[in-house]
Amino acid sequence: MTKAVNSKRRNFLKLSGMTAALVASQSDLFAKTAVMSIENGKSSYPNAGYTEAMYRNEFAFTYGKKEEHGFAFHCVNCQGNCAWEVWSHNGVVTRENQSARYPAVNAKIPDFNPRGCNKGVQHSQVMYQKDRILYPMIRVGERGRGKWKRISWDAAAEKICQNIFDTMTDPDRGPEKLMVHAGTGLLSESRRGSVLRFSTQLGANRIYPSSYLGDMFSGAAIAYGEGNVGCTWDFMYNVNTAVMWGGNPSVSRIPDAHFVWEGKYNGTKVIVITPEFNATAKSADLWIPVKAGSDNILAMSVINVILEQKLFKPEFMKIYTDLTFLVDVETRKLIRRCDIEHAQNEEERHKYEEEFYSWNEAKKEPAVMPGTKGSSVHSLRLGEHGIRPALEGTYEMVDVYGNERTVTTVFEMLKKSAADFSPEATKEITGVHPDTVVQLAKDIALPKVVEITTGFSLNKYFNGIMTIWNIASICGLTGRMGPYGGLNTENEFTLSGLEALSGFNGKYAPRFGSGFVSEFMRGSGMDTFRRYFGDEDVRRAQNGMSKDEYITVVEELLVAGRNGEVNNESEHGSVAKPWWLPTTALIVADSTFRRNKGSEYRRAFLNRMDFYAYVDYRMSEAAQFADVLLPAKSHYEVYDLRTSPGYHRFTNLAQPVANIKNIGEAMDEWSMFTFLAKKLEEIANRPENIGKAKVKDDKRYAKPGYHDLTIFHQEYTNTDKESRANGEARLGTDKMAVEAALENCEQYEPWTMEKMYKAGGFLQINEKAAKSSPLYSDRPYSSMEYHLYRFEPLDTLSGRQTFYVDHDIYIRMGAATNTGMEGIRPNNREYPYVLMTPHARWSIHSNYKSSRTLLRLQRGVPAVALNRVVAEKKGIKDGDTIRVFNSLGEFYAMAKLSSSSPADGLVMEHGWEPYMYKFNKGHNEVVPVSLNLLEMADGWGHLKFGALWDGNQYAYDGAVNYEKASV
Amino acid sequence: MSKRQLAMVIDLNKCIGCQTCTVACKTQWTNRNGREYMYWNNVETYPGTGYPKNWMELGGGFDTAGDLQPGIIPNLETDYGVPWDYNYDALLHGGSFEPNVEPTWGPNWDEDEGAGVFPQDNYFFYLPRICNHCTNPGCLSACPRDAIFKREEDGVVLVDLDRCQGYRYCIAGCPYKKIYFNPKISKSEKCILCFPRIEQGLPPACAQQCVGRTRFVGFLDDKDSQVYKLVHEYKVALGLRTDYGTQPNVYYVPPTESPAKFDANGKIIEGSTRLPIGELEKLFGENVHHAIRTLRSEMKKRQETGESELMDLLIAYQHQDMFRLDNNYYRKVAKDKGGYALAPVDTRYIAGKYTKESHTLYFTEDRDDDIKRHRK
Repeated sequence: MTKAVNSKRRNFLKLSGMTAALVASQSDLFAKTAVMSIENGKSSYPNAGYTEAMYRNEFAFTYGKKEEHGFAFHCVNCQGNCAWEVWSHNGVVTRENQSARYPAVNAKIPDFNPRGCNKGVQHSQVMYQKDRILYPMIRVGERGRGKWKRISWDAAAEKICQNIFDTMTDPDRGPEKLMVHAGTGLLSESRRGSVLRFSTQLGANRIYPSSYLGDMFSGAAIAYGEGNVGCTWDFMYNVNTAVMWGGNPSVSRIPDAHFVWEGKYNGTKVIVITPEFNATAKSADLWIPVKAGSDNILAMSVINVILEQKLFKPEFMKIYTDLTFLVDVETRKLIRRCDIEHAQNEEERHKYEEEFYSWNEAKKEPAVMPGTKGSSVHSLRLGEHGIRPALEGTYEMVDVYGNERTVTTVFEMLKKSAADFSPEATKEITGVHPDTVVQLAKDIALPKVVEITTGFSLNKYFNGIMTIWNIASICGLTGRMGPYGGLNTENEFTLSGLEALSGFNGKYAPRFGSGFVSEFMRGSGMDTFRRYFGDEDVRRAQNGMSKDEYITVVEELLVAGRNGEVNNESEHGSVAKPWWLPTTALIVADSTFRRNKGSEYRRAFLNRMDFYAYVDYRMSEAAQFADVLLPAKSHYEVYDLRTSPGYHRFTNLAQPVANIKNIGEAMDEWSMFTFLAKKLEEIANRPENIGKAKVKDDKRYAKPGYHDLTIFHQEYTNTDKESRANGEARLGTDKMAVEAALENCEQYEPWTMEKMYKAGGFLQINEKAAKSSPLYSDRPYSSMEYHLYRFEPLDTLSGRQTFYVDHDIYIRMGAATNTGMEGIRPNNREYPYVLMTPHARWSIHSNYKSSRTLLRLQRGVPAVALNRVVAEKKGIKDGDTIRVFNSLGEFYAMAKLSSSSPADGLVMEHGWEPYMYKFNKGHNEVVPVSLNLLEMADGWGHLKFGALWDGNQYAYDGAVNYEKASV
Repeated sequence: MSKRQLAMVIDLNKCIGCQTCTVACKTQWTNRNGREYMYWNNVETYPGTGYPKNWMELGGGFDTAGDLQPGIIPNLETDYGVPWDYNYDALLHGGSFEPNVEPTWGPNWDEDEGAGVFPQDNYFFYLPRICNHCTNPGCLSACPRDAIFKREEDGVVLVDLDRCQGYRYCIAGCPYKKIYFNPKISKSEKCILCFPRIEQGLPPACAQQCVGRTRFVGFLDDKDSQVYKLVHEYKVALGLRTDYGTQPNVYYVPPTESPAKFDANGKIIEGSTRLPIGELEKLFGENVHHAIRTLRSEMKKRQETGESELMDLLIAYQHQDMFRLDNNYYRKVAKDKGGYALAPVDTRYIAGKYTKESHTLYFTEDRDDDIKRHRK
């Protein structure tokens, strides 16, 4: 017993090496002085100097020398992107302090300082934490059993590159079976480029992170032909109404949340729509506790009110939306020019397919609308064409075959669809009182500037695509765009010239697979789907389609996407979601077994993978199961740059502290992949290999028709003949890459690393970063001004905001225009709770989840916030271990009894590595996988597979129950 | 009384509970040397048990007659929480990853839990706490060694680590339980208001690094400082539990913002607030009524006219303007004591009653001078 206490105490007092040195230098700490007479310690004290000197020394130690400070940002997937000044002592990082030197954009708008958060502020602790990967290691036992052997960098490179070479040159495998992928633990413009470059050069497979993470704004893509719309966050300061729909910026947008609350002091009405009561809701003007997953129906209810009470803006709608376009009443198809007119040739026919009509009230006849994809007019101005489009009415047209067609407007179709969603009708399903819906509709429609920020939780539901599309349509009906606000998903700026790092001037192109579909296939998702969802679940979520029929349809779509074959044959862009099943993988900073849903993913993935190497600075779940591990440097040990996405207009610099002491044998990714490239080139040039070292590939991925591995390192570093002749920037280290980026990206002009360092670790991007609006020097950015003021078409099929998609699947799903759909989550008494796992306050996905510093500020183990009343009824006390379960699986966590959780829901911050749970069972054990046909649909107008149009892996579709655990 | 008093104002409407302050403080001071369990800065969810657990019920402070009240020293395991560690080795070598001590209590245990009936009237807000650097410190009065003092120049309360014998009466005496026993050196330690940072031109870590921009730091006798204006002019910043009689120098803008309540049918109760006024009165005293009235009327004025100096102050357009550290004053103090003045490492926050903005340039030249003097 005594022994146990002692060991506890020892741990309690454990010191880092750094601290020990500090204490040793202050041995007089324990000195006692002689008797001293103190008159009144409140006004003067004779011995102040001793203590003052001690703390001053301690501060001096952590601060180090100013000229030795580094700068950094944390290139993880919070997208916060904050400038930090990194303090050091003798090459060891002591702590970090925000740089806080961003210049004010406008004297009457709060500035962006001191940008940062609770996680960024402790990277200095994590970088020396004992879960760092220090050396290259090779697995010597079974996968995941923790048996490793330390090897040299050379031996590790040999092992990895031999596997890459064998895969590439095997006639049965080739680049298709190779995956080289960087996850979201490495999101930056410079460092990430190293992995992407390597991947592209090989023709290896990689997938879209936003899709597999369920962070893709597919609903916004439908509406605007662009998912990343919205504003820099300082815009929030001057809006009349700020709606946080499914979002909680005080927790998951920490550096920018102040703009919301300063905006509130400035007169903004803040509305929060979330099932749970959270850190943002607590200070809002109006909190709307919507039932989990019914957001799209609430949005339809708002549309209903806007239409019923005529709160919409008809003149805006006529110009900037497709609401006036004509639709065949019977077939529900849009009337295209090719339906009405014969084309002279194939090229013209294709154009006619992308031209549409409105009813011109000026001439009482249909008019072909300018500005659509197929139109020769690239403007939305109607006046000069004498068009006054009708929003309403039913008309007759004669088609190319001489048949009469009864047509109506998209607006009429929308009205019909919205009619079912009166606030009274939706009350039961959304849990929102009708008066509140009306209030919400008015708060959105009436003021001058309204910004609706959508949270990432919305895409985590099966029908999230409809939620965001419906919210976008609310904005379209109320004229919200540019300076008047609108939908705010996540703004992005234009950065050009960065393909100099990851690209090859078109010589090689990346082999992109769909994120959500690839992961579904890799984890044998269909087995999980079949097992978990019932016929009634599918019918409810897919417009009455039976489970069997759904599976048939999905399987056809999956076959079409296999190995990208059907897309390769298509003339006008993608028609399916492509996917590959690689057998050799090199993965960087992606905790893939943590984030993928369902209990089967890891097993299925590993079964298929012959060889799997992993690169990271820390031991994630993905690292534990690798065959070879490579140690990467972390954010304070490298040179790097980051601008994206576009919450602000600054590009941050990473530059290590002076004389930084290397941690283990960690290498920065540019040096690491250059080293691997060298090894691969060496292997390719060996006599037994050289004959097969030119690896054939489809011209879509390799313009010359092959990848020449004998000059792989030369091409990678731009030292091959061709690149040298073209004057391409030499590459090879993290620092070289930053220099190349600063030279090549015109939005970074005229900055250099030295200037960035002097300014405080950042640069301000110039006006060329403007994408769909000007980047004014003294105003926050808000997208789509060019559309509004210059009548430039959007990148949609109609050139306008889309309210109508006549893709066959959309028509079949009853979703050709906005509608409300219930989710796929089983609806039964046995499993009455929804498990909500929103973005975390205490981690960025799994990044920093294992931080001792941060875990001590939580419960130390995974914890679930339960509704206090419900939990008490179940006999559960705060701190109890509970078992959360459904037919898929179970996990254990600590109960937090909360007044902030709804009675029908469990709230748990996501990102916990499975190894942090009892029995290594993560919470994704109870989360099913599925594919929404609306996101599977492809090959329509602007909805063709790519960075804009993929889909989402969902996370909130499992229904669960819980009980007090007996473990 | 010290000659001048440095003070902090924390705006609870703007606090988002992110704990960047807590962690900034930890890496600046308490991640080492026996301080691991201490949170000189913590943020608690109110209502809740707080940190250390139920600190408001642990005694200390003074009664109305000015007599020091008895108090209880919190227990590490049950009241502060053991700073558990993890077996990180297991991640590499197999075995399950777990804390070395079963977590049963910690400094943020009841985060976001709040009180009330979901969704009708449940509520919470955040209450960040540091040492109040009281004008009449309970810890100082309780110390049998007279080893706690207020710095003459700025009123920062420090434990004399030379003379402290670790008797721990100070912990009982502090009604805020913001002084801690360091088991490694057997002495008490506490928040030092980052005086070494302040002297060199950097605001306290918790304040400078607050991303919610909730904390103002300055001298209470500096009429140009935000703390003066908020505390004395507008009277919207109030001490916490001033009924303890210690005259705290950390002030709070009380929370006024909360969404309306719902009735049993889910209908909005117009004009209602979730923040019970009785609770706010308990925390901030009777003056909270006046403060809330002022805040509400100024917010309304801002909304209607676009004007309000109080809102301008609380919005704080430029982060650097939230701090007035009066560097010239500190340099003078140092020189008067016969020492050498530390040059500021940063010149953004140094303005103050005795330091004009134009001093910035002067400092950069002066710095070399100081260094030369030091070498002599």
